[in-house]
Amino acid sequence: MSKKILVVDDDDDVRRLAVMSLSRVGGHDVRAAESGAACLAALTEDLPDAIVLDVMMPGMDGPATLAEIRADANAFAIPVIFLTAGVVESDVDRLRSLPVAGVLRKPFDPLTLPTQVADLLGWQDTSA
Amino acid sequence: MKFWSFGGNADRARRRTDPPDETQPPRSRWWLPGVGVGFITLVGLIAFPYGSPLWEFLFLSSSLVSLVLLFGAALTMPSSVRSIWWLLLAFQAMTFVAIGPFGYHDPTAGGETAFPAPADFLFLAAYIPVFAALGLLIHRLNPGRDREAWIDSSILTVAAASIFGLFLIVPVLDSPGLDGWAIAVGAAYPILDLAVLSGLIWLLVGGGRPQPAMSLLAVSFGFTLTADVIRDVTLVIPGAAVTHGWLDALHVAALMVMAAAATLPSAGSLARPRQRPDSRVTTTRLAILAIGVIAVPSLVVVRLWDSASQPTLLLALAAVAVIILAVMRIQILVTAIDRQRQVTELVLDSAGDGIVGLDRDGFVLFANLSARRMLRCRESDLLGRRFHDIAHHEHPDGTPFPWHDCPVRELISSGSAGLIPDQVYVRRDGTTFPVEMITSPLLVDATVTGAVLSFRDVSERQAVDQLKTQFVSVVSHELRTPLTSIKGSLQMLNSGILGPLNDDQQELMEMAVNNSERLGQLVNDILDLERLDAGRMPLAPADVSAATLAQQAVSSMTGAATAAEVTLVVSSTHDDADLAVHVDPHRLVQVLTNLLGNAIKFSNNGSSVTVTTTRVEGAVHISVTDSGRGIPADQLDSVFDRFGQVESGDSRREGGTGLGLAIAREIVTRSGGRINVESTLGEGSTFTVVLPLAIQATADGEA
Repeated sequence: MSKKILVVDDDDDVRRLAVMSLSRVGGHDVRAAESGAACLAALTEDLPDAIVLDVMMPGMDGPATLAEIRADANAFAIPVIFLTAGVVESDVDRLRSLPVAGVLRKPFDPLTLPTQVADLLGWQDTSA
Repeated sequence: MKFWSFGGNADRARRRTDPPDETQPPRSRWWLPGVGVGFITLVGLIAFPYGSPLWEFLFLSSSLVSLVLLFGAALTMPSSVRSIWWLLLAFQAMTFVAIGPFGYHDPTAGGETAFPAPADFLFLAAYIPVFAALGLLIHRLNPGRDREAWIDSSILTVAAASIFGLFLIVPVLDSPGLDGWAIAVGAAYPILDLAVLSGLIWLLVGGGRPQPAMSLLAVSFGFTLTADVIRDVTLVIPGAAVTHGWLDALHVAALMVMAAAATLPSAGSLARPRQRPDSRVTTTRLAILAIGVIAVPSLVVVRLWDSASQPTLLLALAAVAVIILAVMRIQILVTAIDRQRQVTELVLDSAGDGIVGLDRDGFVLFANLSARRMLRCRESDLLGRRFHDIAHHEHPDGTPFPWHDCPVRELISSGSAGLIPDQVYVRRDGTTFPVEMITSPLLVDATVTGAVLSFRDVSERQAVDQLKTQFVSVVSHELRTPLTSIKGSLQMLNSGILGPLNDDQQELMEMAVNNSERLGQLVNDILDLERLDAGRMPLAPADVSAATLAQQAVSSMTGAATAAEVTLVVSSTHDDADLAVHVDPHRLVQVLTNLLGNAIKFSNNGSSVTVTTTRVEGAVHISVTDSGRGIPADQLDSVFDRFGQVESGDSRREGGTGLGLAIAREIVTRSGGRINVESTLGEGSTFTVVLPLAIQATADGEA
């Protein structure tokens, strides 16, 4: 069952890898945004089923973007998964306490990322 | 008998001042023959008829030998004390000439000479070098305290002279046939001797170790004093000429004791300044002064009671002198106390930490400069007020903090010391700053009378900590982001999803994937260690079953084990409930995963790795056993060191960061446990994590 996923990450390579993983391995319909602002802009059109959101981004960071999404009249209900490179446990705990479906760590395994996302969102496994 | 006390005194002085410590050479008995010769000489001087040739020989030879000894000693003294010994020699030489056969002493006249004789003036002049020597001694031993020394010894002298005077001077005054000169000269000798003796006694009790040479000098002047007192007595008791033998024997004794003092090893360090000039006010010193001060007026009262007139006037004069001296002395004492207080205050004010003294109820008794600066308070704002109400009435989050909840209150009431971190103090202007404080009880005779609170502003330290955390977080992000791309891309390529690879490509790809994983692990381990070192890896302990943790670790390593064709076997000897430990589950799984990873890495294909959880008395043992190549005995200790990989040709092939076991040991130790390793080369290794049983499990067996 293919889903629409929006990947937000300021690092071009990581973003392309996540997109490739979720589309080629997970078989989803994936779009990408390179900043929090671009993410919000993308939410005005066709809404995704889930957002994979980087935490540390210049300008509007992950939590700020999340707050904007939750405040958005159309997009407030979209489940969000944080993808963080942070290791400090207290930081990760703080992220978990926000209204998100889950927190995934970098570096991620592109072969299992779709499964992890699906698990967090309660989706049926769509990969082969 | 004087000679007995001479030998005895010398012996006592040695015993008291030369404690057997290893730095000193073994004590010699060189002085014993000297004491013997001195003793025999004195016996002879008393026993032989006064003025007989044998007597003259003994008198002259003992005096001259002693003078030569003094001269020799003065010649070889170190420069710091040489002048003092020359002056003492001058005194003894002048005395000898004054009392010797060529002066005052004239046996041929039957012991009867006019008094005062011309020799008396030589005798009196001999005291000039003595007082010079005493002045030098006092000045060198207690620099800056000359005035105290002279006042104290004057009080002692006047007091003692008044007491002696009642029994000696009064009969002299009352005896007919003595003119004013005779009375003045007769009284001068014992008073001068007393003054010298008082000065020496002041030096002896003035702190520091009493020196044997100094003690002997005091003994010597004690003999001189006795001789002079006896002579005064002979002046007023008719026919007392028979005591001339005694008199001269005592002068010879004084000379011999001084010569003995000059030959002591400590004679050379007689004037070595005390390391710490001791001007403390002690009860002994106050008592000696008080006796001296009270004695003379008491005698005045006694004399008034007796209604004797003439000596009463003298005594009254002495009393006035003593009182004036006492006032001067008290002034010096008060200055000394004041100086002590200033030093204490200076020390407290120079401390960088805020120091506040509290009474039992937490009211401020004193506050040092740092405390006042940090709180931006004047002393008057703090003194007499409860410290908690002024500076400590808020929690870090700004909520009120009542005194009955303050940990300081509990520490004061229990009289215990304690470190209280993470507190917030409020300044007078309402701003706050973070502090760390230490309280220690103020104990007076084992009773708690309050507490000393020392605190420091930790805002800078907190800022640095914050910066460090931020640094770790940024570095972590900057390292992981490129790693994510490299590793992910390689994994995608390696998986074949994007198209098949030929064998060579596949081999290179696996190499790249393995090494990117190793790099990723290295980044994780270094960050983990950094945070463990800085104490910034908080453990979140919970009561969990060790068997469950072992199972979790095994589950997460199943993939790696399958890839390496290694079988994982889990066993547990007890129920989960009996294996409860109080640890951070996440971190302990990390430890076990690391141990399993190593075990798998070093196992041969087809072999198995066993994880056993068992309970041994009050502890839980989790063992990971492999049947790999084992660890050489000489390297067993170093496997837990950082980068402490076992040396072998193929360690590089196995990969690994060399930090995993160091982290494991750190985590286990911080969880209150320990980690051991046993190994037989060629047969395999067993790593055992030993953790204390959770309290719950020991109490009622509930996990």
